[in-house]
Amino acid sequence: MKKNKIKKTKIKIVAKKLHRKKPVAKHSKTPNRKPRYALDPNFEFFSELKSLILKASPAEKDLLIKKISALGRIKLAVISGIFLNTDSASSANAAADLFIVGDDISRDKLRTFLRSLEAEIGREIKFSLMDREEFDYRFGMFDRFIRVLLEGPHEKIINKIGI
Amino acid sequence: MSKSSNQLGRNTLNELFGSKIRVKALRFLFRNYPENFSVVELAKRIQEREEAVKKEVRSFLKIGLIKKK
Repeated sequence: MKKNKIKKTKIKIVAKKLHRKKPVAKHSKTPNRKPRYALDPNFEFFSELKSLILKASPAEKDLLIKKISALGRIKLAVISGIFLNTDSASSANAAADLFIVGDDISRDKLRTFLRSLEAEIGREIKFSLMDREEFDYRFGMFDRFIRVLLEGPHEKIINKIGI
Repeated sequence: MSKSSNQLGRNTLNELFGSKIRVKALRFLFRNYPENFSVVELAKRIQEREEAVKKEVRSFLKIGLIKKK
C-alpha cells in the first residue's frame, strides 16, 4: 500500500513538470503566428520609390543576354511581359515573359538560371523553350502562341535567325 | 527601354541604397504588391539569409514603408 502512494506522487510531479514545459515550447515555435508584412501605400515616397526600384536598365539586359547565351546554342531570345512592364496588370497578359529558341541547351544550367532570375526579379517567370526545328515548324504555320508573343509588345534580345 | 537612356544598373541601386539585400527585398515587395509575406517567406523567395532579411524588414517597418498585416 505504501509503495503505491509514493508512485502516485511521483507521477503527479512529472505531470506537473510536463504541463509547465509545454506552453514555453509552444511559444518559442509560434506555429502560424508569424507576423506578415506588406508595403504601405501611404508611405510618403511610395510611387517614387516604386518607379526607381522597378526601372529596367540596359546594363541589366546585357547581363541577361550574356547569361542566356551561355545556356547552349541560342538562336532567338524574346523578352516580354514582366521584363517590359513595371505594372503587374499589363505584364500578366503576355504569352511568355521569356521565350528561348535554341539547341543543345543544358537543362541543369537552365534550371539554375531560371531560379536565380526569379529570385532577382522577385516573381515567377512565364518561360517557354523550343528547339530550332519546332520553332520553324510553328512559325511557319502561324502558331497561336508565337503569333501572340511576336505581335504583342516584346523585344528580341538575341536574334540569329533574322525574323 | 531605349539604349540611350541613363545607365541605371542594379549595382547603382545597390550602392545607392547601401545594400544588395535591401534592393532585392524592395524589388520583390513592389513586384508582388499588395501581397504580404513573413520574413521566412521573403528570405526564401529572394534567396537571402533570414537574419539579413529580418534586419531590412525592421528598418522598412521603422520608416513606415511596410506595415504588419
